[in-house]
Amino acid sequence: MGVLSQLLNGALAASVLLALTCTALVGQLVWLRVVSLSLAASFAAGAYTAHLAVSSLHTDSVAIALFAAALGGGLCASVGALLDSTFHRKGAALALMCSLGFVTVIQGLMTFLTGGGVTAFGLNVVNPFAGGAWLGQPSWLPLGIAMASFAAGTQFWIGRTWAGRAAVAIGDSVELALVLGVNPRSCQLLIQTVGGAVAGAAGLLGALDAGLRPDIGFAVVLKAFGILLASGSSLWHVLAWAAGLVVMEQFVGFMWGGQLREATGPTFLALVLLAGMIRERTRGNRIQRRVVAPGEPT
Amino acid sequence: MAFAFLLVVSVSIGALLSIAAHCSFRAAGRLFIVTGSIAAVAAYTFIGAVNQGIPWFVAEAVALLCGWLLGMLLGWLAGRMSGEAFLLIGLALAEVTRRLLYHFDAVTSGAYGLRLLTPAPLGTGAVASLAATIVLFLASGLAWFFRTPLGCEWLVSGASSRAASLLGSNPQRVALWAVGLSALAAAQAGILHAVAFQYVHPDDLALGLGVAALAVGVAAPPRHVVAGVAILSFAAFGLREVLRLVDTAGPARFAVYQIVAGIVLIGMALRTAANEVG
Repeated sequence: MGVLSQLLNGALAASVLLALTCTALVGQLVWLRVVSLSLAASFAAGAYTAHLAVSSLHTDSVAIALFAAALGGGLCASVGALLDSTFHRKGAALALMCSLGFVTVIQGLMTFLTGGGVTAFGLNVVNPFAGGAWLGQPSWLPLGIAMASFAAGTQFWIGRTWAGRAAVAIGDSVELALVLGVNPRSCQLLIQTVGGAVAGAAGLLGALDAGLRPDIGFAVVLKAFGILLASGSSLWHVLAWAAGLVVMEQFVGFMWGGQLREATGPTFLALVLLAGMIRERTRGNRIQRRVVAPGEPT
Repeated sequence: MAFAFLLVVSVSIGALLSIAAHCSFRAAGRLFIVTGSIAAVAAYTFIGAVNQGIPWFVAEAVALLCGWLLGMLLGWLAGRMSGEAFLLIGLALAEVTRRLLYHFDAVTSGAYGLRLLTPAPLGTGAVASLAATIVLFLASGLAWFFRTPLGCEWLVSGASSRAASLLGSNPQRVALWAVGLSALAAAQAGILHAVAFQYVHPDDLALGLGVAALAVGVAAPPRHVVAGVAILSFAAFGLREVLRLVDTAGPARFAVYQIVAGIVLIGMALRTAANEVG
């Protein structure tokens, strides 16, 4: 019973973290249709900035930690957005390569400035939730649930404002958005900065959960990619897929150990991409058959 | 002497991975990031086979075959997927490979790494010379190949699959063979690592090395493959060993390595996009 409750509690915490990251990625991937890893850098930047703020100000204020995390994540995402906006879907693979380079540079800078992440901070990450004011295990869980709900609500609201509609228009066609009077670069900057701030806050929770490392955001963002590609933009589908993936991870970790648990997320992403490829090819073949045989009933 | 050996071998391994990334990028138009993981699989296969008493040349052939089969599988995917999906699946597979190498410790020795039990038949000088020769041979071969009619067809296919189809070429078949041959070069890098260091660890040949190799592979100019790969590989992979020589602290050394590779990736992506738009 103890093991089961521990597993379920771990699954809940991980799915909250994953849902928060997915929410951060929605604007970039679903609306703008930008395939970029720059949120992995925001995730890590948020965690490091929060740690820096809390440790240098000698405070255990949750508000300061969250503000610093959002600021660090948002600033990092704005630089990433400026790089991403250079491509405007002219070369999606090149944009992804550029964002990979950006993440690598940020990871290198963090390693250089902090002396190697694990060595410098490691498990001694300052925990602003350690005062005992929060119930549950891990201690950040109630705030995490509140943050995920707030972030999802905010995304839902932004999606219905001018900015959200402009982002969808840019994602569909940059040329059309220009005709409609939308400035693609500023809109992309806005949407990705908001997403980066959310990712930075998620990074703080992730660091409290797994320790502070320069590559902290990479695996989470890959999983978020898989979930969003599988679920589409529906909020409930995102939450369901996140919960399902995390339960699967916990089960695999319980049965076969931590290494295979960590491999579950990337495997899921690979399977989602393969399924997408098969679906596209099947649809393409069907269209081709119809073109070749026009008499076929539609 | 030990430093010279380390420098030559490290640059050669990096150069082989870069040649693999370059071939895939130019001929298939795909960003091949799993070079490090394919090298790791080949290195583990090679050491495992030699430790089982299989002769060296047979073990090398088996390891190359493993790498080639993996490459053909990825090449099949490369011809059917968009560029960004192929890069994402590469990132996922690199992480999965590393985790599997850690997990199956009965075969791979997990976090302890796998050591070659039989002493290598070649001395350090011979291994370094062999490594440099293999790199020069492959880079020259690739430069020559891209000047042949078939190589030009592959270059056209890499630049625009639509144009290649109009010219009667089959881009999917080109991607299959280009990525398959690239994987052979990556597997050779893994075997070289195993012979030179007589040891392999899951973190030795991983995603970081693949990222740096991709940066060099994309940056190397197609008309001057040999010079481009040699100079850029030295800058990307030799720099870390030079920093080791001047006794820079470990994390800082890796940080500099990451920063250089990242900046090259960003610069090359921006330059290639600007050329495409132009």
